[in-house]
Amino acid sequence: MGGLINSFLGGAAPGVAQMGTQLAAYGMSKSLQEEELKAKQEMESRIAERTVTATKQAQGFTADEANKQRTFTEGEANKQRDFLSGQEDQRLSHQLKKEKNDEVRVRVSALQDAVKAEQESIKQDRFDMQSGNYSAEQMATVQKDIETRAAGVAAKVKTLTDYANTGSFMPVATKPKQEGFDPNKYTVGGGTEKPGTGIIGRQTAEPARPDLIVPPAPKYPNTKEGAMQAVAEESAKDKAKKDMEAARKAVEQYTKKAARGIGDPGLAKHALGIEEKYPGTLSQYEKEQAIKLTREK
Amino acid sequence: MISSQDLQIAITNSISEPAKEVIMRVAIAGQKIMFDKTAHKPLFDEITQNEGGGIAHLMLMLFDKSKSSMPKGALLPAGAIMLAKAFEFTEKAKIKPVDDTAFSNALQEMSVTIADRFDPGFRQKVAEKTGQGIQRETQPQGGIINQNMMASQHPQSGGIINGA
Repeated sequence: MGGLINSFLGGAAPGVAQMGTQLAAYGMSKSLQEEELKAKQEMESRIAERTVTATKQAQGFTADEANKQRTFTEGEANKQRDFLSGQEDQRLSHQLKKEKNDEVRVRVSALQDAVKAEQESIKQDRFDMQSGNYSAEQMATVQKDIETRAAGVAAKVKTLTDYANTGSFMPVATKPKQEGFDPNKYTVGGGTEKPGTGIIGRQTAEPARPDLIVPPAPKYPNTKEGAMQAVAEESAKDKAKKDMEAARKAVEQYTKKAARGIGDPGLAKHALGIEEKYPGTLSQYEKEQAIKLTREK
Repeated sequence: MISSQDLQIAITNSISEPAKEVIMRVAIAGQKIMFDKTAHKPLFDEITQNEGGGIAHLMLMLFDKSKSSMPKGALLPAGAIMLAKAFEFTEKAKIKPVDDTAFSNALQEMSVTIADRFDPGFRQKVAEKTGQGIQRETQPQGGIINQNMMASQHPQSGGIINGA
């Protein structure tokens, strides 16, 4: 095997190897001072190398540590910021949701209470009118008052109905205006969009005539009859709901029994009656089984 | 901290001119190896672990390489100069802190190691005389210089120099 010093002495520095083997002869051509000076210079070079390396290492270490520290600090700060921001967003979102829910709940509750109270009040006034507690003049005033209040009730009921249908008290969003469409002009004809204009059909230069614009008919007319109709319809809806719930329970009971192999002709008949009133309550199979059971009886 | 220059002057002033030249040539040869660009780093890293033992082994390696033609009497004074150079380097290159006590201990270790080579019972004798003895700072169980020493003491076992 070779060795570092041996290879050094044998090949890497032949001058030194020669010196090693010729130490006994002391026959070197160069003077001792020159050799000493050279050895000293070598030593100084190595010191310089070591010092530079140590300095670089120290600088590298410091820079590296500083980078690491900075990266860590920045990372931590980002994490913290993201975390706080996320928390804040979440908190605000929760708060908004809660506030919105609270607001909606309060509003719905207030409307329901108002409607109920007004309905009760109207009922009482009508009872009083029938009881003959008012004079003819008073009767006319009370009747007028009842009509006004009934209209208010109808409006409130409508608001509640809209909320139940849309989940929002906001008016239903209108379709955004078509780009390039001038509402002050007539649009005649139909067909596909004229490329790049966003206009379907042909617009004339004539201004729109407000008298030709027909507003959509209100569901309930703003009259006493309208208000009563609204209340009646809402009540009917409630009744339908109750009926549906009862029917659902009856059908559930029937299907449970049928599943256990117990045929209840009475219940089957009832279920068929419900199915007739509210089609789709029974499945096709259940329907067939119920009919079969009813016939068997 | 003692300087290699002062030590060199002190040594060479007390000896004859021919002896002075011999010692200086040996010391310069050792320094050329110790501070050679290629060999310096691994060699000096090992010397730094045990300055006295390391320099002693380097001196004995030079002695072996000269096929024992090097005057034995030059080993200790040249080794002392080299040791001072090694300490000087250690201090200037800021490898580790050094002081006169460390130098004194290293010089003693170097002297005993060199003497033990030519008088195998020397270390034992010193130990008996002093009562506590001088222990080897490191056992020759590895490293460039120790491997070399083992090879030179047991030529059949191979080693850095003999293995080449």
